[in-house]
Amino acid sequence: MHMADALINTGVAAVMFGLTAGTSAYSIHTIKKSEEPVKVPEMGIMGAFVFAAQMINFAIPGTGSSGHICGSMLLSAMLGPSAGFITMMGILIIQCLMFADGGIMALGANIWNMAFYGCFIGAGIIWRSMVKNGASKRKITAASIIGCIVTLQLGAFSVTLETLISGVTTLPFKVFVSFMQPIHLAIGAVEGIITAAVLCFVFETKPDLLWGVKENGKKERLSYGKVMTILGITAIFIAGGLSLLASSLPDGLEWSVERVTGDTEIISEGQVYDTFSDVQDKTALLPDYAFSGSDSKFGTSFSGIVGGIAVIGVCVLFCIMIKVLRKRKECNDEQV
Amino acid sequence: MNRFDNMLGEMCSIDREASKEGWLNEMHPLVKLLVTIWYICFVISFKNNMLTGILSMSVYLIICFLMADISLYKCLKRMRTVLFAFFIIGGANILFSENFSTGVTGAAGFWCKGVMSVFAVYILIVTTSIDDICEALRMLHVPGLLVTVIMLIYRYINILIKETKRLSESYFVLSPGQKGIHIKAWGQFAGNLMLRSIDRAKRVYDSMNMAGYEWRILSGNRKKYKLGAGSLMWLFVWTGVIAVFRIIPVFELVGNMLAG
Repeated sequence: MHMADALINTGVAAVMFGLTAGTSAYSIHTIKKSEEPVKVPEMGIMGAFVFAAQMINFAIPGTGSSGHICGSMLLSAMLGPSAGFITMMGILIIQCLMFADGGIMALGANIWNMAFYGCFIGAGIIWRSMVKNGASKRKITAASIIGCIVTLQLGAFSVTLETLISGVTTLPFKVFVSFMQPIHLAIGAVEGIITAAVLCFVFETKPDLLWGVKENGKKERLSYGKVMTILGITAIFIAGGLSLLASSLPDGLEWSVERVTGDTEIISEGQVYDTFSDVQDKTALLPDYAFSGSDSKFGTSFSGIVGGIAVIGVCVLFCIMIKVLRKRKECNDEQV
Repeated sequence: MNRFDNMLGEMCSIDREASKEGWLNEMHPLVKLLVTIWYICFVISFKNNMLTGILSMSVYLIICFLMADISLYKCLKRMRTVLFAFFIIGGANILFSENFSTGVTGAAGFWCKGVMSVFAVYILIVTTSIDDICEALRMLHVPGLLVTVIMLIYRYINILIKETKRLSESYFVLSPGQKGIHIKAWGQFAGNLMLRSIDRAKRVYDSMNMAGYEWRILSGNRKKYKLGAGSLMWLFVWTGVIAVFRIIPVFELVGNMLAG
């Protein structure tokens, strides 16, 4: 889900940086205000754990795709939403600045999509509400799976919205959503299972390490009925919400046809064939034209090519000259 | 385990490259960070169909790659996943554009912008160590807690990988002939690894505290991080050049002059 710089425009990047800065200021304020000592070593090692876990991609059956865990839910279930958010920020900054995974301009958006939802919605709301009266393996499993699915869906949806608002791709909204949401549903489910397995082990071994779990609380068991109700509501929210949103927007094919023919009506099969033949006609005509979408006319493009070669040539010569001069200087220094 | 070994190897390799002596490596980290952000801002501000303009921004990359002796092959190898993602997303422009030629132009512009912004970040990471980046972040008034966490995550990766190796070796000794860790043991393995690593990290952190560490970042070598004339010149020159290349169609102007 790491967005690259080219997927976002400057305005959207600035807004996302603003939101992220605000959330991180709130998180740091909360951590400092807290009476508990700051869990700096835990934040560091848990960050390293999630960082390493993100390197391991698992296959998504039947899709030919793969995914990796996001980890914000796991972090926050151990450290709390605020410390989890700061740790997740640290991971994403390292990935961006040390491994070029996710762009610098898109860093704010990446932090928001991958850290905010997982930490403040996944752990802050879902995890907390499910374990506040005492934890059990079932509750932990249910909270982890629901939390991971919901937060990854929200994150994936945000990626789609940010790309769409940035206007960097002509990929229609519904097509993009139909790619992003189902694949992240599968990734969320797998992540939920992994998170649940780890947290259940921690619960059995060192339950005091889990955040928000009332130690001597009433050991309430979450009934299957409750789990199914929560899962059902989540499914209705995601599916219903998305379909409502999607239904108000044109279908991917409709959108393409409308852009090509100017006709907004749903078209029959014959017209689709016509559309394809229209596209083919356009494709066949390409040799007679320069790139029609480009602002540059042929003459300008030619000038651009000549100028580009000249400027790059000058740059290369300049660099070679500097390097030769430096080497000479080094040789002279050695001789002295 | 191979993946962890490769990851560690890759990290060490990047660390070595970032720490080696070099003209660009010794440049002030804040200046490099600001120039990179400035450059990316201007590159992504181009519309996808302004190919000539986008390509003119490659001047910065060419100069940095040549001056700092950065290997293009290594860059492409390390960034292959990101570049592949650009290829796929950019390709969608061709499918969903109103005509083929617009789509191809849009895709080409998208690819160029993506590749150039990734290359700019790559230049930053292979010439700047994690300590330098943290110092730059501190100068930008990023909170100390966040910078400390960044440094600790980076340093603790080593601890985690060593602990993983130790745990997996003991697992395979107990389960001879088994290929990989059994799926039923994943949760226990990961949980165990986490708890053991937390204990070790706490011990390391306690030792750091006993040695006088207290959320202070890089207080030892302030002289190294003083803004020199060279760094300032690099900042002002590139700020100006990048802005000029964004506003004026330099390639076309030079081409017109040469072509008459």
